[in-house]
Amino acid sequence: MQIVPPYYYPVSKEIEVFEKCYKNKIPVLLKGPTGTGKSRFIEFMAFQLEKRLITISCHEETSSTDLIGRFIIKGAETIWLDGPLTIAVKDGAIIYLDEIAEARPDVIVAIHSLTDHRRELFIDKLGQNIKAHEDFMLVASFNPGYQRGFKELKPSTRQRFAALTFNYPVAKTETEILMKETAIDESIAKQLVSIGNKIRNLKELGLTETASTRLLIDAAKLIHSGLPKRLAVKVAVIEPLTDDLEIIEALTDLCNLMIKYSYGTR
Amino acid sequence: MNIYMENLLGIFKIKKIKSDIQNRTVTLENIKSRLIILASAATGKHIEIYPAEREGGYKNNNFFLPVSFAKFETLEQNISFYFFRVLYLSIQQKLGYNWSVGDSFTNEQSSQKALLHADKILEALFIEYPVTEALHIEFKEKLCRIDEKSLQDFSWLYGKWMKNEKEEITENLLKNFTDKVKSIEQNIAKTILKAKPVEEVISVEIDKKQQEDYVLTHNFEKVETAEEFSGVWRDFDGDDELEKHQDALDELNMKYTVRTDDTSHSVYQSDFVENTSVFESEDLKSDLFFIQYDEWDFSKRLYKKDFCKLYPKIQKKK
Ligand SMILES: Nc1ncnc2c1ncn2[C@@H]1O[C@H](COP(=O)(O)OP(=O)(O)OP(=O)(O)O)[C@@H](O)[C@H]1O
Ligand SMILES: [Mg+2]
Repeated sequence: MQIVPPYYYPVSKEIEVFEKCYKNKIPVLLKGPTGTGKSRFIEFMAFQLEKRLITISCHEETSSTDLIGRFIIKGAETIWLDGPLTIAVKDGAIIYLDEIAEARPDVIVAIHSLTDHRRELFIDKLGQNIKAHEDFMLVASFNPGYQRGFKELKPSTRQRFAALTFNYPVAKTETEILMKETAIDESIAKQLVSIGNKIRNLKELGLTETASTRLLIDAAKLIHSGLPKRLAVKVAVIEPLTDDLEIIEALTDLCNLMIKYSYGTR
Repeated sequence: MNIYMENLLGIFKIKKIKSDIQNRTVTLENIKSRLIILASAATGKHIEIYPAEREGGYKNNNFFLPVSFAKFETLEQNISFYFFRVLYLSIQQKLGYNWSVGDSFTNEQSSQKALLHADKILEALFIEYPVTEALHIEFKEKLCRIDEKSLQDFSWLYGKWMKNEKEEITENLLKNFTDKVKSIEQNIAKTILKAKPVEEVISVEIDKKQQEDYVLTHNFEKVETAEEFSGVWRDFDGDDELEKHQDALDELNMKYTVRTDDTSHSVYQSDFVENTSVFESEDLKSDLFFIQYDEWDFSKRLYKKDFCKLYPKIQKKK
């Protein structure tokens, strides 16, 4: 089976920064709004560095037990099962904690000793300290936008990471990404990016998040498989952004003025 | 009998035409919020939209558009007309085609300038918003048909040049509003009538004393000046004459205003609210005690921080 490397288009110096951080095993925090390529970037980097990547999507219920491991009952005995973090620490994988601010506080506590000079994981249930494998690295993502106010990372946590900010790429780059990801025509890619940037202009509408590269890619995919352009943009870009009828109407106006009416992909 | 029927049909016809026009008329008021979003998306700036005296144009971040529009046959076309104008103005603004602060000009020159620069604006417009090209052809053709004989008037499409204003306007900030205004407790405006919109307000500075003398001796034919309203009809029989004066007032141009520190008893409201900060009170200092609170700005979906000031007064016994 042929392995296809993940496609990632560098937006700035992030690849170089990450490589150097990896060399020094400095934990990296990827910041930025949704759909700006954070997950894609780490997949790409793990592939480049030929390291195993373990991803954990954190949510409100994610606890340190989920990460570190637990005892389970098997027949008459209880046996210990390593969690993903413990596996990564032992095997020297890259662990990616997606949306780290969502996780319960004990998760943050658990990683503290891993992210400073100690580089060790304390497993309280076993009373053990495990030294991290030489290749182990911790990466986390954090979306400062919609967590504003209620879910912040403490400075003592933040300062354990080097941080890279991700944002919507410039038009030319984004067009390129759309074309590569979906094999769509350049003219359509350009149009979609232009629409995306117009929507991004609307900072005052109270949208929690604005049109991301991901949404534009979804629209491009739909168009590529034959959905009329206006419809594709409506369902893939506008509707996911908001439920406010007035805003939907205005954004639809905007798109209809930028895209000629069509049945096919042309 | 026949004649009667014909008459009746005639009436129906007129009625039908009337309702046809009604059905296809777009009023700015109704689509303003849609247009604001469109304009802000197109420019990346916070655009305000105001009714124009006629075809309109732009001034800084304010777009002026016709109060209503029904020149084309269908509602959709008339809505599209507004879209076209908003996008057109966004490009015109980007290219900076407008009079600048020092310029003086006539109305005619303003239209000429607009016409002269139309091609350049259209070129950029069609690239950014491909759909506008077809709209432009369609609108132009329709306007030709409407004004066949008279000179072709494309000013509806290309607008007119207006004059940008200096951005800093702090000097103008309500300096004529004294504490007297804020502390007035009884005189409350009873009637608000809408006047025709104006695109510019020129404040005439006057000597108050002189003006009072003047009012005493002069009367306009149809409209009594605002000053003279004081105490004249209020409380007579609860009747408020201003309502009856509306027709006369409609002929009055509210472009020239006089600032005074008397509170008004009736308000003759012209739709001018451009450069709102001129009239905003948020950063105006006052010696009197007041409570500040935020105002909800519907169109922007944001609170204006500490926008409102409330000057509490102890209620007196009757
Ligand atoms: N620089 C880039 N190179 C290649 N693809 C990109 C790039 N940026 C974004 N993408 C595309 O955008 C999509 C969304 O990116 P990704 O899933 O990495 O976002 P994310 O930042 O992890 O978002 P979230 O915060 O919601 O998890 C990807 O599937 C990819 O197609
Ligand atoms: Mg992700």
